[in-house]
Amino acid sequence: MAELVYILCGLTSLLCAIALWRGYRQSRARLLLWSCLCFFGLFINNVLLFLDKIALPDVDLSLWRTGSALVALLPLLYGLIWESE
Amino acid sequence: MNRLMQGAVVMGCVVIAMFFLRFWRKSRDRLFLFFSAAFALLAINWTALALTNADEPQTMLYLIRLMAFVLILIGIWDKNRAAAKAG
Amino acid sequence: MTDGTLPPHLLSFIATCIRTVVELEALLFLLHHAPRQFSADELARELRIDPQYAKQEMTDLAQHGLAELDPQTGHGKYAARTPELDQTVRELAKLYIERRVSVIQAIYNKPSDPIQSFADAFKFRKGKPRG
Repeated sequence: MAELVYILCGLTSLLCAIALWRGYRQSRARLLLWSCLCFFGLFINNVLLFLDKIALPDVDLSLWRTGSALVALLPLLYGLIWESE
Repeated sequence: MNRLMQGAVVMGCVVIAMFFLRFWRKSRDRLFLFFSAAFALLAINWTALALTNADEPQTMLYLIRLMAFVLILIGIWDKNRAAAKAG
Repeated sequence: MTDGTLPPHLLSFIATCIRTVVELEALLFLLHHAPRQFSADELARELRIDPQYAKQEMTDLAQHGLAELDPQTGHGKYAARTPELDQTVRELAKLYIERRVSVIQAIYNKPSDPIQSFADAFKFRKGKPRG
């Protein structure tokens, strides 16, 4: 069940990242670039969750999981603060 | 270290949710409301993880994450449904 | 030639509510014939555009609180949501007659709104392009 959830969440993040990348190509609004990076990072985060549960059960990826989430949020935060006007 | 990062992630999600809320008020575009709610749920998710010291895949906490991303999908669907109606 | 001669509140209005010259002309047409209602076809004939496009324009104007759409007939008429908005539209109408080029330049030179661009990125069914 969790595996399916992480796959869905990963795909949703990827969808958002792709949509935002296309939007960035069209509008050149940098907020979209940072948002795209965030959602790509969340995609990675979901992939790591999936791997942690399924593929590598004896390896503890918890630090990487949290770290990837944090790294994902940083560009969006930067973009929202500096580029949203 | 994990605790510190989890706290930062929670704070990050809260701030992002508030920015999206502000965008919603400014633009009246419902999409931002969905994104705001999604990030608020992610903040709750990470808070619960930090407080309960649980491992997300082992508990049902991933359901909160699921709700957050489903909200994003609903927001996108809602946006395109409105666009199709108006067009 | 710059659009610096337009007052800031009009520039702000244009930036938020007027995407194209056609949209402005639709608004001004409805204003001049207020409170008469028009169907999308009638508006399309007047502006010499596609009726689907005219329908979209009326919907956009309604969303910005500049027009009212009859829920049953789908006909639209000018209806500014607030007196300030009405005042702004009338000022813009006057300026469009006196300084048409400045107004047109203001419409096309406005900086694109990143928030709007974010929302637009998730529109997968492309309607008419945003001006």
